Formats: sequence, structure tokens, C-alpha cells
Amino acid sequence: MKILVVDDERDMELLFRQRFRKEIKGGQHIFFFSFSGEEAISFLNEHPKDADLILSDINMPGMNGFELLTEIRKKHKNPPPTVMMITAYGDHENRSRALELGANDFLTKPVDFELLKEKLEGVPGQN
Amino acid sequence: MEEPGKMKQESVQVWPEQMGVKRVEVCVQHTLSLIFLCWFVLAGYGQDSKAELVERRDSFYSELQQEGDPKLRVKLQNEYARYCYYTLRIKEGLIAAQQARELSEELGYRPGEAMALQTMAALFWYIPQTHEYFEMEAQRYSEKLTGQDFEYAGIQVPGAAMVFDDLPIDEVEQLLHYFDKYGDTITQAQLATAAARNYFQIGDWGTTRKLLGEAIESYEAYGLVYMQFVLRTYILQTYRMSGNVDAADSIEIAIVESISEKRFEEDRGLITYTLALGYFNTGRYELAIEHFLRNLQQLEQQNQWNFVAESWRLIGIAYESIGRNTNAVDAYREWIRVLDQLENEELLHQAYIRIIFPLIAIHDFNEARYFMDLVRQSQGVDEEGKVYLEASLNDARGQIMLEQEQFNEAIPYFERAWDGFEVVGDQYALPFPPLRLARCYVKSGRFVRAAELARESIALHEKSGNSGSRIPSAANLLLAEAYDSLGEKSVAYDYLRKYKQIEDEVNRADEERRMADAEIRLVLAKSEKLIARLEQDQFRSEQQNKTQKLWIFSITGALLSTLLIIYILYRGNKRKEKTNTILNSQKREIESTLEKLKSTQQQLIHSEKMASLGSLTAGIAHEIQNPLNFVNNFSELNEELASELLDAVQDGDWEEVREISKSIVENENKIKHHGKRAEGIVKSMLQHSRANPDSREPTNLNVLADEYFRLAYHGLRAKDKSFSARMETDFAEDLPDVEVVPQSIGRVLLNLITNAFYAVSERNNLGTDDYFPTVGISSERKSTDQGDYVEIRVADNGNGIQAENLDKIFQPFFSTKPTGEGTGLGLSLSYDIVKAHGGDLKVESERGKGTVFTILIPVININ
Repeated sequence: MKILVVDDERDMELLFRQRFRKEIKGGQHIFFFSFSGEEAISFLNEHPKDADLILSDINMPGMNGFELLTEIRKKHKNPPPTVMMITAYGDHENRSRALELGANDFLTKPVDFELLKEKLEGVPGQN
Repeated sequence: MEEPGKMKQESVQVWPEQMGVKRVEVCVQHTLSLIFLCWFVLAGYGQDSKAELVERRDSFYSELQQEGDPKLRVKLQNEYARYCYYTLRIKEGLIAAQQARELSEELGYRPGEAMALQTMAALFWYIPQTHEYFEMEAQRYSEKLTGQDFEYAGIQVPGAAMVFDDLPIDEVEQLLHYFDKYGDTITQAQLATAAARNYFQIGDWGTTRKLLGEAIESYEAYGLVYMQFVLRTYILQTYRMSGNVDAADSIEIAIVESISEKRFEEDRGLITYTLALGYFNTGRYELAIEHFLRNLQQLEQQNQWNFVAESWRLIGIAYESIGRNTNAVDAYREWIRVLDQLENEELLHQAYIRIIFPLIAIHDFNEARYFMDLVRQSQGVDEEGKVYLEASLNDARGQIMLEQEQFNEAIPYFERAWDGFEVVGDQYALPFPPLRLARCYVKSGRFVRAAELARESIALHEKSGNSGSRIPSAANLLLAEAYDSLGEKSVAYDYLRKYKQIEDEVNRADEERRMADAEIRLVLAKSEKLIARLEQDQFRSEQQNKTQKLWIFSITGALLSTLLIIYILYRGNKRKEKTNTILNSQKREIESTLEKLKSTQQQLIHSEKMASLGSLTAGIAHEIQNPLNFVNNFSELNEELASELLDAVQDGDWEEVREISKSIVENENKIKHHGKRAEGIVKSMLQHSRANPDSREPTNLNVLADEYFRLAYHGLRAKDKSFSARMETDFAEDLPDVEVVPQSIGRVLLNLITNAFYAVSERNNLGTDDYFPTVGISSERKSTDQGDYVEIRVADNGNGIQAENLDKIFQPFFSTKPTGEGTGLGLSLSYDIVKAHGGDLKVESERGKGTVFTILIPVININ
């Protein structure tokens, strides 16, 4: 599965690469990383087929996760990628806003990778 | 009883054109007098509720029936009259006060007489024409009181003394202290209001509000809802005057909410009357008429016939002012009908005079003559009054001639009217006869004389200080006409231009007013329905549309502000004569205020510091959470990798062992890095709260700004979870370090950023669909003649700062946030901090677009 991780914390890349070391090695998942909403948008415009799943932080400088989600749902419909929001604010308001804007799921930080891996099983579009 | 001749003269108002303004002054005084009158009449009773007030009134009445000692009878009658006042039994109160007055006169008992007059003054507030007279008389008597009388009359007198003039702050405070030992909270409330008035006049809004707040609490305990209403509108004014729109708006909501409460039911008639009067006084005649009419039924049901009469009078004047003379005639007929029922002879002949002029205007000359006959037959008018009535009648006769185009015949009548007004010295009436004469002379071809008279009229008008009349406009037009006929075209043109200019201004004001009126009407209609519904179900009050109410009361507030300003102007005028005394007392007031300010300043600076620390805390919690997440994630990961490492060693897969070991080391570094990051945040928090800032050190403002940007965002986010904003940064990469105290500049940044977030969230709450709250920080190196600077800009796309507030925002204690949300010190301290760094703090703002704060810090060669 092709996964795009969007987070302004650059160490997220290392964390993900190590956490999914085996899956990456085994060719199960391919990870791409963007460090802002804007970067993610240009990635998606250039590689519309390279994200089956988007994991995005909400609170980022510049374009935030909600804006990114709105943009994705507006422009990338064929097929619509699965989007999971990841945020330190696990509150009800954020969760319902994310789901309202069209997120498929919602995770809180610190990321529970076991849970994330379980959730990945359920994501469509896996080859 | 002395005939109130003086004020009759003043209220025998026969000049439709002049009515507006003069009435404004008189009525404004009434309305505000109520505020300042109530306290003295209320002086001297214990902890009662409104029901108990009624009980007490009745018990005074029965005691009075049994009491034989004349002095005690005077006291009891005064007490009874005062309780009639609280319980709005106007007529009974007046009779009792009048009896107390007569009895004291017989006994030569001056305190009793003064008290009776004061009570009458308050009761006569409801019949404004007579109110000033009693107030004046009361003052006269009060001034004569000796120390002995003071003692004898007990605690009633100090309270009473206040209504007569502004009591200096220190005296009020002495009195407040004096009443402490009696536990007499109502008198204290009245004194607090008196003190508040002093502070209001020197523009010390904070102290004014504090004192009024205390007074309101006391009134609340007594169930005196009307007083609360009045004082709360007064508090509202302090916010309006200081430009604190947000706070004013929220108080307005509270006021509307309280009006629709059930406890206001009984006084709603009076409150609506006050509102209508406010509209009337500010020239919003149509709205005033609507309110008066709507309120009549309620007033009638409550047997408030004096109010009913006064309402009809004002409705009549309002109709006349907007040129609806037929309606005015009808209203005056109603007024006369009610006065007939009340058998109020004094007011009746005023009403007769009043009705004559609209009757002439609609050419109902027979009916006008009928009322003129009635005026002629008026009994019980003193000499001066007679001169005035005769002058008015002559004016009416002249008007009839004028309307019938008998210009030469009209002239002698207007001349006689002029003489009459001169004898009684009525400044307001004086400009009209020459104006009318000028019209007659123009019509009969005597242009030079006409021009002289028109100029005379303007001069008299200017002397009268009656700024709102139509005299200048009419006189200039007549002058233009006269000079045109004389062949002096250029002079005529000048006058015509002046006329046009005046008319344009009037029309513009009219237009603006009409538009605002339409809006008010709309929201009022909605609000009325709401109130009706509320009466059925009080729980629905919370669901009321707050914006609507805000609107109604913004407008009412603005209106009341105008009223207050007019009042202040009026006071100002009156005060000119006493400039020296006032200056001295104001000096003392200011000194005492300054003392207080000094003592509280330190406290406030401390609380500002704590407040900014508070807003940091939530941000800090979140900022620490982020590195901690990494610490947790990476250490979990290492645990996993370590066990994989063991497996790899057992398997002898050395390639894998090398790779895992490398990862473990890398992760270990990350753990350390994020641990340090959390530590740094805690350190900066400690620095922020430290009392004495450290010395300056080379600092990269990009890093500092970024740090505080996040902290502020999360701080706000913690308070309001639904809030989110776009955060934009544009930092210059080559930004040189500057020598600053990082925690001080940090505080500046935090303040500016927090304000920016506050501004965008305010705008966001208005709920516009296409609005995206955005706050941005940028940095840049600037070279100027004075050297190099680092410039940090904090920009928001909020509502912007009102132009009139722009030069105030750096003043200490200025805040537009609701009470309790801001200390009003943030920007002022920020300014001081930046200045102390040799830098500058600037602001640019545009309503509806946003605000940009710019910090400039000099780059000093630090290498």
C-alpha cells in the first residue's frame, strides 16, 4: 500500500520508517512523507496514484490538516484516498469535525502503532 | 403653595420649530435627574424587599392617622411620601409631601420642609414641567439647613444634600464611611452612585463601574429593579464612552435579558417610557411615537395617569416635529382629555396653547380660536405668566393672518409677541417673531427691513444656543429672497448657498436616521414577539437570538449615550459659572484617583504577568506533549529493536545486527533530542515567570517567535477546542541575532500573538462562511538611517481595531475585551519592553481587514 504521511514534525519520518521497517523491506508498504499541507497537495498533484492512504496531522503551520482534508475531498475523487487524521488533540470536537469533513478515521498522538497496523488491514486498495 | 410660574413659562412652548432641542435639554435633565434623584429620597431605611416597602408605606400611613405631635407628623408624612415614591403611588405621595411641607412651614421646621420638597421634586419627575421647580426650591431650603438641623433630621439630610450639587469625592467617601456603622446599604448605594458620577465626569470608567456595581447589588437586594435598570444603562455608557464595544455589547444583552424577565413585568411600563423618552430626546420622533403609543395601554392599566398625560404631550410634540400636524392635534386632544380627568388646571392651559399651532397649520382656524379663548380665560396665572400667554396668543393671531396671506395685518401681532417674549426673557421664543416679521416684509415688498429682521433672527437664535432649530435655514432663504429682489444677486447667491448647505446637512442626518430607524423597527418587532413568548415560557430565554438583541440594544445604547452626552454638555454649560470651585474639586478627585491607581498598578502588573503565564500553560502542556510523544515512541521502538537484535545475533545475521544497532543508536539520539526539547520549554516557562529578567543575550528572534507562536496557539486551543486557525510563518533566513532579554521579548510576542488569535476568533465567531482565521508571523532585516533593525511582524485577518481606539491601545488599562478577560496592560507593557530595547512597536489596522503589529529591534554589533 502506498501511504503518504503528512506532519510538520520531521522525526515522524524516522519513526515510521523504523516502525514499518519490516513491511517496507518486504515491499508491503511504500511510505512518502510531506512536512506541510502545501507539500502534500503538490505531491498529490504530481503523483495522484501514489497515495492509497493519507495519514495527516491536523495542527500544522500554514495549511492545516482540516484544510488539506477539504482540498483532498474536493480534488481527488477518482478514486478517493483513505484519509486518517492524527492529532494530539483527541477531543470530541476535532474528531467530529474531521469525520464531518470526510476523514475515514481518527488517531491520537502518541501514535499506537499496533492499533495503526490493525487499522491498515482494513484499508481498501491494498495490492 | 407657591405657584410654579417660572417653569410654566419655560414649558409653554409654542414654537414647533424650536421644540425639539429645547425639549431635549429639559427632558434629558429629567431622565438623568431620576438617576440622581432617586438616591436621596431612598435614604434612610433598612433591609427591605419591595413587598416590604409596600407594607412599610401602609404602616406609616396608619401611624400617621394616630400621631398627634406635629413634628412627628411631619416626619411620618415625609416617610409615607417617600415610600409612596418607591412604590410609584405618585398622587398619594404628592399629597402627603405637600401636607408635610405646609405643616413644617407653620411650625418653622426647615428640615421637614426641605425633605418634603425633595420628595416632591422626585415625585414630580413624573411630570417634568414642574420637576425643576421643586428641585430648585428643595435646594434653596437645603442650603439654609444648619448643623443642628442636620443632626435633627438625622441621616436623611446627608443623602439629601447630594442631589443639589456634585459632592466632591472625598466627602462622598467620608459619608460612605459614616454610613458603615448604620449598615444602611441603600444610602450607601446612593452615595456610591454619587461618587460614581464624580468619577464618570473625570473619565475614570473603572472606578465608576465598580461603584455602580456595588450600588446595583444593593438595589438588587431590595428588589428595586427600575433603579438597577437605570444604573446598568449607566454602566453601559462607561463602556461606550471608553470605546469598549465588546463589553458594552455584552452588558446590553444582559440588560435586554433582564427586561424580559418576569420581575420587570411591573416596571416595564416605566422602562418603555424611559426608552421612548430617549428616542424622543435624540430626535428619533417616529420611534418615540411608536413606543409611547405601544406603552399607553400598560400605563393606563396601572393607573399611571400622569405618565399617560405626559406621553400624549410628547407624542404631540413628536408629530409636530415631523410635520404631521393632524396627528399632533389628535394627540393633544388626548392630552387635554386626560388632564381634564386629572383636573390639572396648570397643565391644561399649556395644552390649550400647544394645540393652537398645529390647528393653525392645518387651517382649522375656528378650532384654533376656540382654544385661544380658553387660554384667555385661564385662571390662576401670575403676572409674568400672563405676559407670556398673551405673547403666545399674539403670535397665534399673527400666524393665522400669515396663513391667510394677510401679511400687513400680521405684522403688529408679531411685534407684540416679540415685545412679550422680550419682557419675560424667553431666549428660545425670541428668534421667531423677527423671522415671521421678515417673511411678512418680504411678502409685502419691504426687502431691506426684511433682511434686517432675518439677520436679527439669526443673531437671536445664535444667542439662544438652540442648535437644532430650523431658524438659520429659513432665515437664510428669506435673506436670499430679499437680496434677489433688491437686485444684489451675488449676496443673494451667498445666502442661498448657505441655505442649501444647512438643508443638505439636515437631509443627510434625516436620511441616516431613517435608515437606522427602519433597522430598529425590524429588530424591535422581532424582540416584541420574543418577549410575548417568554412570558409563556421563561426557559426559552436562553434560545433567544442574541444577535438581534445586541442590535436593539446597541442602538438603544447609542441613543442613551447621546442622551448622556447631551446631559454632560448641559452640565458643562451650567458648570462654567462655577469653574473655580469645580476645578478645585476635580483636582482633589484626580489626586485621589491617582493615589488609588498607583496602589493598584503594581498589583495589576503582577496579575498581567500571571495572566500571560496562564495563557502559556496550556500551550506549554501541548508543546511538552509533542516531544514526550517522541520520547515514548522511540523508546518503545528501541525496546522492540533490542529484542529483534537478540534474534538477529542468535541467527548470526550480522548484516541485520549492524542495521538494527545503527537504528538503536539513532533512536537513542532522538530520545535525547526530544528530552532536551521538553526541558527547554520548561526552562523558558520558568524564565517567563521570573520576577527579575535576566540580562540581554544574543537571540535569534525567528526561533523565539516560532516558539511563542505555537505556545500561544495551543494556549487558545486549550481554552476553546472548536477553534482552529491557519498559522503562517515567513522567517528571513539570514536574520541576525539581536541583543535582547529573551523572556521579555517573548512576552511581547506572546501578547501580540495572543491578541491576534483573539481577533481572528472573534471574527470567526461571527460565523461568516468564507472566512478563514489566519495569523502570520514574518521577520525581516531592515536597514535605516539610524542603523539596522530586525523587524518582526504579527499579522491577523481579524476585525481590525476601531480607528478611535488605535491611539489608545498602548495606554495602560485600555482593553476592549470583556471584563475579566484582559488586564489592559499587555500592550502597554509590550510597548515599554520594546522601547527599553531601543526599539519600536507600531500598529496598522484596517476595519474588516485585520491588524499588523510591527516590532523593531536594533541590531547592535554583538560579535
